[in-house]
Amino acid sequence: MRNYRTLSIFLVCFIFLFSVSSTLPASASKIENAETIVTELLSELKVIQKNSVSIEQKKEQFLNLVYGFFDTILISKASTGPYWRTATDDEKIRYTDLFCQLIANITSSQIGDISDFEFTITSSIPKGEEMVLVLGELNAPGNSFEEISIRWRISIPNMDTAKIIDIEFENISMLVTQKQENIAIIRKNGGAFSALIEAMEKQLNQ
Amino acid sequence: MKIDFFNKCKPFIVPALFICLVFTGCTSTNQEQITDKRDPFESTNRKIYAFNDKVDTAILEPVAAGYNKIVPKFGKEAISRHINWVGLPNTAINSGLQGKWENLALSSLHFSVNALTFGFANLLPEEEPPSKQDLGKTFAVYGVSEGPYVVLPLLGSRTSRHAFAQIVNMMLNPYAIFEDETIRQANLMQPVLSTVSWRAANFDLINSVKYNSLDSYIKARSAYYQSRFGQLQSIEAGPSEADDLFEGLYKEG
Repeated sequence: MRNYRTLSIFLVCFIFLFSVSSTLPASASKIENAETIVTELLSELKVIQKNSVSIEQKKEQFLNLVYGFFDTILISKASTGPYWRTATDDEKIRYTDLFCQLIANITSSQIGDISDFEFTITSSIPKGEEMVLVLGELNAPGNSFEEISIRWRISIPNMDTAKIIDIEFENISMLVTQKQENIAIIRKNGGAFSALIEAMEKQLNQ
Repeated sequence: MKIDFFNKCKPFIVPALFICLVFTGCTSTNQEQITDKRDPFESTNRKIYAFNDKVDTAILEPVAAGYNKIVPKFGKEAISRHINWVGLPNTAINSGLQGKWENLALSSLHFSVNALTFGFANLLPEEEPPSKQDLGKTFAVYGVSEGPYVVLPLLGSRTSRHAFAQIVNMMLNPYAIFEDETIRQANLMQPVLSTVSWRAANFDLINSVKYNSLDSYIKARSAYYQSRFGQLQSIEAGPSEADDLFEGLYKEG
């Protein structure tokens, strides 16, 4: 009887240790991957900032970063909410393309002149099975903002793929803001997804 | 005595009248035109937003650009510290009303010690700074609902709860009790200084909303709600809009 009890305690301990050891490294390396992608993006940004190229060339380089580091399909779905399903395949492709250009334009106009910045990661939190939030402070001495708290939302559905899906500046999510803007435009135009594409084209041509 | 009271209240009469005008002038918008359930007065709000936008372009934006160019970093930091110091009595009162005794003690300590420099220098750099509290947060603690969204002339985006709290905050300004003319004049300059300092500190962010938006009104409203949610998160807990956004997306494939 005593032997049976010892054996069951041993078994419970073994199962507990096995489950902890199999989940901890997984979430730890997801966090590591999430932090790596943020650090890599920022070092690429620094390289672009240091190059003395024209604004158009900078926009092009920012656009390449968007395609490389962001999950453009997931962002497109999230930023149009229920209307994504109503769009045709051509509209989906066009919207994704325009949205990436818009992000590149905003990035180049907002941080195009900032030559010197440092980002310090303060913590990283797993959000469910497939997301990690990387929290940190961006310091840019000599610019209009001194210190901004930034949260990067990283999608990691599996160990090999890590992509950025949202950036929050001082609690303001770029994606939530964009989604509300997009949905308002579609609703105002009687649910026509094409109206959003027209508005984006107009904005980009300004 | 009556005249004395009127003189003390004079700085608040214009903003209070503005706010009253907004509330009485608000007409609810057609259901079809509403882009957010929290904003039933959208058409009126949009008109006030357009007015604020013009004021910003004509006055505030160039002044803030000049402020960023001329005032050195240490000067901006000192002004920012002074503005925070001026708000400490308000933080202390509201911390007390919310039962945040540690924050009440901290804000009282910072206010009294830094009074030696009028808040321009922080004489307690080692001490933890108090977290900013206002009457809007106090109302949230007591369960007052946030009410509809309004855009106030010159003051910008607010929920009704936040806007009402702002009027009361202005009425309860602790500096209004001073008889000294210099203090009174300085008190009148406070809102101007804090607005310019705030606009200058958020220069690129606000310009991005103004000039890089499909609909800047909606972007400003969204940014206000998210920023306010961040400030109230410890009181009105719940998932953020960004957390909600991705829920279910992975399952859809």
